[in-house]
Amino acid sequence: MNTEVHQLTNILPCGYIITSQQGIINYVNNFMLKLLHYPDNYVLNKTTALSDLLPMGVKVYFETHLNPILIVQGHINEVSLDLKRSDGVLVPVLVNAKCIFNKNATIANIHYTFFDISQRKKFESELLLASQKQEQLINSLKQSNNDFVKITEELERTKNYYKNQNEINKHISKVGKVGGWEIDLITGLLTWSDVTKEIHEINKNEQPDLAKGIGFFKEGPDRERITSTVLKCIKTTEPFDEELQIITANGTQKWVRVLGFAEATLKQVTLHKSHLHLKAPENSLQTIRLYGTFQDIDKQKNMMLQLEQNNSNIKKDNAYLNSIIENNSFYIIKTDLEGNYTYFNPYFIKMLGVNSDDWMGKNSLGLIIPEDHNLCIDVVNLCFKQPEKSHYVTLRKPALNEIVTNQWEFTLLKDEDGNFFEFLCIGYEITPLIKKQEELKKLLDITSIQNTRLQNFTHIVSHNIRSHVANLRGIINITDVEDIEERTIAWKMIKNTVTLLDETIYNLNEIIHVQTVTQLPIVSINISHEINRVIKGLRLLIVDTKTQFYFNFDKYDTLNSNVAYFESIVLNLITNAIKYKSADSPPQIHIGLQTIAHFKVLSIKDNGLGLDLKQYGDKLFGMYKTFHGNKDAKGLGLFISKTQIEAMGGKIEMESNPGQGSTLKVYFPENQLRTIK
Amino acid sequence: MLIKKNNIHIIGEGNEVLFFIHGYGCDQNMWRYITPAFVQQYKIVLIDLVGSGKSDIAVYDFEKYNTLQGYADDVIEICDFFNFKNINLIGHSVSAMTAALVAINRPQLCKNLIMVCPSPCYLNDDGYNGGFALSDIDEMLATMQHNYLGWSSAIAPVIVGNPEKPEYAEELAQSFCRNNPEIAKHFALVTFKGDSRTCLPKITTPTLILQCSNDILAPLEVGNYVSNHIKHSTLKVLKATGHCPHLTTPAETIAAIKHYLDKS
Repeated sequence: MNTEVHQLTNILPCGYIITSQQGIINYVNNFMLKLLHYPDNYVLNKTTALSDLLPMGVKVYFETHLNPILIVQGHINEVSLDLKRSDGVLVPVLVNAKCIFNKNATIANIHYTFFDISQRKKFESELLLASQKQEQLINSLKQSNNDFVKITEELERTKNYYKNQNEINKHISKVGKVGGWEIDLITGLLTWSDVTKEIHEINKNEQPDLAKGIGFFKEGPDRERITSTVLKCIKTTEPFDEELQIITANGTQKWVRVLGFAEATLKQVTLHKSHLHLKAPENSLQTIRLYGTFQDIDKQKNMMLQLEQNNSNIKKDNAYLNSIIENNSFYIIKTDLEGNYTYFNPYFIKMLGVNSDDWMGKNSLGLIIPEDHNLCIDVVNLCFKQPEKSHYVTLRKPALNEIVTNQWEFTLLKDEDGNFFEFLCIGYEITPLIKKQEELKKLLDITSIQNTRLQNFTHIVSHNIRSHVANLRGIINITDVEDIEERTIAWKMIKNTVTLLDETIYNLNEIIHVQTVTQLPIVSINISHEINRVIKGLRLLIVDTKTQFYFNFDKYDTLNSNVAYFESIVLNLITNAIKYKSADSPPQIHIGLQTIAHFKVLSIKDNGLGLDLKQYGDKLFGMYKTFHGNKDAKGLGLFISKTQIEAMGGKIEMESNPGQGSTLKVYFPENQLRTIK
Repeated sequence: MLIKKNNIHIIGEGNEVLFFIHGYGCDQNMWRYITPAFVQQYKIVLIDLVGSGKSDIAVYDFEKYNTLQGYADDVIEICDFFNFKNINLIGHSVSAMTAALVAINRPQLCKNLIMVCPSPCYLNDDGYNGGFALSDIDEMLATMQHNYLGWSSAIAPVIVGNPEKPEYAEELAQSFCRNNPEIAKHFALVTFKGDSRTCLPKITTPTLILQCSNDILAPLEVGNYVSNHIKHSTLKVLKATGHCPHLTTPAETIAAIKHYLDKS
């Protein structure tokens, strides 16, 4: 290798290695030595192979994947791997390599470049960490969802319990049929009203006597009880009220309520012969008549018994559920139809710090934040509209020190006559769930911003740097090293390109040094200077395609942008203009500047193929969209430009017609300056 | 079906079969510099192992391909399907051991075995120096994983001044050495954690062992071990370095194979 090229590779801001086809290192530049922590101008052993610079695992990957691809394909681009420094520390790099072939198509040597990507790795691990955190959050969200499902199930059971109790109450309050009865101890006659006969299920013509009447009571305790009660009443004239079971004429067992009163006299009376044994002692009250009511309470009684049973079941089997109803886990409140509180459970009082006395009878909207009042009223209306089912709503309440979010279920209850009666509202707190969702959303936003920035960054690395490297490669390829004059020109061109490359890398560093998401440095830049820099970087392509540029702005004009983003956007748009040139004439690119509202608008107008915006308009700036069937098109350029200008608070627009070229307008906001110390 | 499964290609004008099995990481394109030298004289069979190259990824069975026997069974199935007899079976790297399993299972099927850079066991073991520790394998998987993350390929640049290249290379680049990450990882574990040393003495087929001068994956010591444990073996140490002499020094590799086949 001659001295000039040697010098040249030594000022490249990346590692440079040339190996034989067998992988033995023939040349290594100073940057590479520095990267590997060798002293400057250190001479590697003549048998050192590239794979000797790799850690063991990477060697295997190199031998089994990269080397085969390189030899078959002639090049590899942007492969990420670790190098082993002289002190054993691993340094992550991005490798590009190209085989140089002899005239007989065998490989002469292989040129490698190594870019240090320690910073990018940091980005990547940051991203990875964020996505892991996200995964964890999602899991904990799932867990709390499960918990809520469990609570909802308990809620359902509680609700059913309330429903049953309500049913029972309705039945109890329905008054059963009441009949009358009378025993005349003088005539000895027992008289039953029609209803009483009906309850006993006997014919209306029939008139049973006392013994028969007593006989309807269920044998055993019931019959003994009525007998003794009646006797006691005759004796003491005190009224009685008993609930007992009878067996009707049809054999049906029924609960009845019997009320009895005595009519007595001090006069001497003669009792009927069958009641002689009921004669009161002398000078005391003689009962002559018993009368009272007879009521069928079978349904009510059975309901009551069932309720007792239920209650004891719940107590016995499910003390846990009971405790929920009483105070745990749920808010249970009732309001009247106007929404005034009629009941709070203790949990509601405790959790929301509500003083029961202050709020009882007050309107429940008072405990809901004003923003949610309409929500609440809507659900109440819905309950009136569709009273057959429950309705759900999420409402926020001011609690002790914060606002809590509760999920509520409203049920409109009816009284025994079927009239709307009151609201039963059961609720539980979902504040932690809401908080977690918000946290997750925030994290997702951050992750996606990070992702976009990483994409932009990676794009710039591969795009901006690539154009300089392509330039260098082109200059080296077309230069005849034997021709001194040509060599001098090439040397100058290479020097220029390296200066540009250095500037690009400086700008990238600026982005890298910014650690927070929001602080992309934005400075005032000289448009003419920056655009000329990009154009110089594209020199070979421009000369090749005979592209002409027309600047319609002053050389002192400035706008505010991140330098690397500006470079990337302009590079993209100019490259596009050239790439999609018309087949008939060389590209002419007009670059103009105007001020619209608070934007500086850079317009890039070409005379290229143009495209039908009606057909493609909405897809233009999407990812992986290509429109001309051009093989090189990857469909990323416009997408990346759009994300970059948007990251700076601007926008990008396109005007175009097929066959009439395109104009891209990039809006840079004026009031955005951010410098980083 | 079978052809799609292993992406089988059969070329050449001869009758005698030369059956190539590629190694870990790549596909049948590895042999592209070797095969032209044999098309006149042989019937050349090229396959992609299931899970590699353009094979039918859908039939990759993690259980079946948990040992090299799964791949060996596929080779036998192909031979039976096409009614191949007396074949010369060439395997590279780990697939040299797959070829050995074919020869052990069906001695009559194989006329010759040719092992290119073989290793029966990559991990170091008591008294055996395979060249690798477990941590090396993990390091390799991590590097692989990192390149599958795809920053580079997903953000493929709109290239300015892209060097011209032949069409086939472009197409080749789509699949060559670019395998499904899960499968590549599994194959790596099967390859690098496997141990086929006990197979070697069971081989009765005449065997040529091609060994490179400086191969990280299969050191000279391993070549000697293989040679010492196969009855009818010939060890040929090539001047070539690295693990893929058929790619880096095809002429020398062709000459060695030709010399051996002509002699037999």
